[in-house]
Amino acid sequence: MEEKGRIGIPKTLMFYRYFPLWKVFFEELGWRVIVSDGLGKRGKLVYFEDSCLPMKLLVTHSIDLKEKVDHLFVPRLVSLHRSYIMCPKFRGAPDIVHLAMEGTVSILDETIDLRVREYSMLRSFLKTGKQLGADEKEGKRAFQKAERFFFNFQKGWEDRINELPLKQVFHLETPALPKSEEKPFRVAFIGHPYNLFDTDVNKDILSFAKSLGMRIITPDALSEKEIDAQVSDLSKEIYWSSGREIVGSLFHFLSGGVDGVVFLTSFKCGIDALLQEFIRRRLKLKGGTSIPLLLLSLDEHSGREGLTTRLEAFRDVMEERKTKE
Amino acid sequence: MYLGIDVGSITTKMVVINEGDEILAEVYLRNNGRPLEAIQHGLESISSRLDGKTSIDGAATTGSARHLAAYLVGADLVKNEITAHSIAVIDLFPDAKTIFEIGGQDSKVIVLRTGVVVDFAMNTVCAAGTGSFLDQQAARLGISIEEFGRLALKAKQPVRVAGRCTVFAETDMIHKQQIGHSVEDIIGGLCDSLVKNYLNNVCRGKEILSPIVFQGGVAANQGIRKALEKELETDLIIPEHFGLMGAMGAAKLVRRAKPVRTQFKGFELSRKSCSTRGFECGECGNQCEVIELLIDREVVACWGDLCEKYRKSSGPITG
Repeated sequence: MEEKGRIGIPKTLMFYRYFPLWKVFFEELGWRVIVSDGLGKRGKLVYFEDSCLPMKLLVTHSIDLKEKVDHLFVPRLVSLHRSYIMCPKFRGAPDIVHLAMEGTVSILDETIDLRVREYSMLRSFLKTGKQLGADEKEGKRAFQKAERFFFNFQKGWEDRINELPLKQVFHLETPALPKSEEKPFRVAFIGHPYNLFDTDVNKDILSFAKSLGMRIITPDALSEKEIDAQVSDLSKEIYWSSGREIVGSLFHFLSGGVDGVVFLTSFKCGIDALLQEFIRRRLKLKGGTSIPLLLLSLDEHSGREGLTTRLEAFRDVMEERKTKE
Repeated sequence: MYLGIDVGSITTKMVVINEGDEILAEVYLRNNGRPLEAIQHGLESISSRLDGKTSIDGAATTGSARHLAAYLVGADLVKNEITAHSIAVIDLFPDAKTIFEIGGQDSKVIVLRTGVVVDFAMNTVCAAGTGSFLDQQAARLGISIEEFGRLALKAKQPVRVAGRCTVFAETDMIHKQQIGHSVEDIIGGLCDSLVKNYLNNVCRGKEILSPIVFQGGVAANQGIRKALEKELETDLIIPEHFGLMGAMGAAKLVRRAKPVRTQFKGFELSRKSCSTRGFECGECGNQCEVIELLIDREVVACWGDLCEKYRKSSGPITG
């Protein structure tokens, strides 16, 4: 099929979960997908006002793409769950990009709000498809194919994240390597996907964890039911979907099945700040945890050394606990 | 005999122990921003204290420059400072339930239960309340850091100082000084607020139970110690070698690991020329800052490259 043009996807935010779906959808409609590069060690971050790091990265990556593409894909993510909402910054994300681009590039910014039928994932993508000149039938077919691909991709997630270098996890053409030898520790890494899997944010801490003998489990491995089981008895609902996922999976993993739990938080994130305090209080009520828990705080200024020292010590804690058993 | 080296951000500590964990020689010196030189000086004075009758059976490094130190001296074991500190405490005080460790740039809390580390935390983005800030304030007041602690004990009415942030603390202290509070009261107030900052930030959410062991360079500071005891309403245990605990832990770990043949390069290292040089690799987007270590003008180790392309030296055991 002839290439209709290029769609740019900034490698930030929910890219780190939905990229496989997005990519297949656009490619099925005959568009080429271009992904922004990482920041690298010396990358220049674009600063604007007093924003959180993920939003600064969104702007930085978008600027990187603007000359190379016909459209930028920055969906307005209001909700990705039938009752929980995203952080309000996601709602404004396309507007932030629009301002930063000064209107120089077209932005595909259809709303996704799974609480409302009108803004379901399918309908949102049909609208996006229409903007790209695809009729409903073509759009539907492309979306179904994308969705199938996404589900299969998710099934292979745990192997991909453990067997591939982190930078290649979202290279969809690269197959996951066959499982290597058993690792001595199973460790759950919890946090927003764009903190967990963006090596510019986390200084590639997951690769370091793997080199310390940890097999990584992420909340992606849990079903909605397993997550809900841990948040259903809360006195007050957590209304952010990321909060629900983080708290639900954290307490799920702390109830067993792993040797340790690491919660990667972002220094400037309001949701994380509240969740940390919330988790502390809930742990206190539960009388602590028998499974080691580590809170790692990430910010754009921290070096890698602080993270590695803590992770090394955490490995020692898990090891001691294992030898004692 | 086993050598433990702890290279922190401000000071370098070394101990040599025998099979019975007795300290045969020890060194505590300031880095003055030059860790390589500090390590060389340390080795020199350790060796002179041992009167030349030394055969080192194993060497281990810890502290924030543990990797640098390991490449330089040829360490058999590299250990993070949290584990090293707790190993040293567990043997000396098997009943200890909490370790407070406040050093030059880092402060940590380690939670122990039945002689096992179950939880820990380190200060994150902020160095408020650590040794270098106390140093800086003592220098501003024109007193030695030793005197600082003694003066704090003389405070009659410690003033309230914002301890959240060192920048605010300093502004606040200058304000108090300008409206006429005594130096003793200001220093006493600073100690109180730094302790509150430590307990509320580093120790937040941790179960602090007695017996508590307090170590690291700041444990020498009477003012901080008193303020901690007052705030927690309990006495603290201060180990005899409170400043050397990390190095002790490292030495004990390598004694237990019993290397068959040590990698230690020997005390002659102190007489060789040691330096590092850095360059930026331009092969890929990572643009790694690669460091080469040179001993007598020969590159002996290389690190900092994410892809490990330059890392030709076999390197020490990490962990």
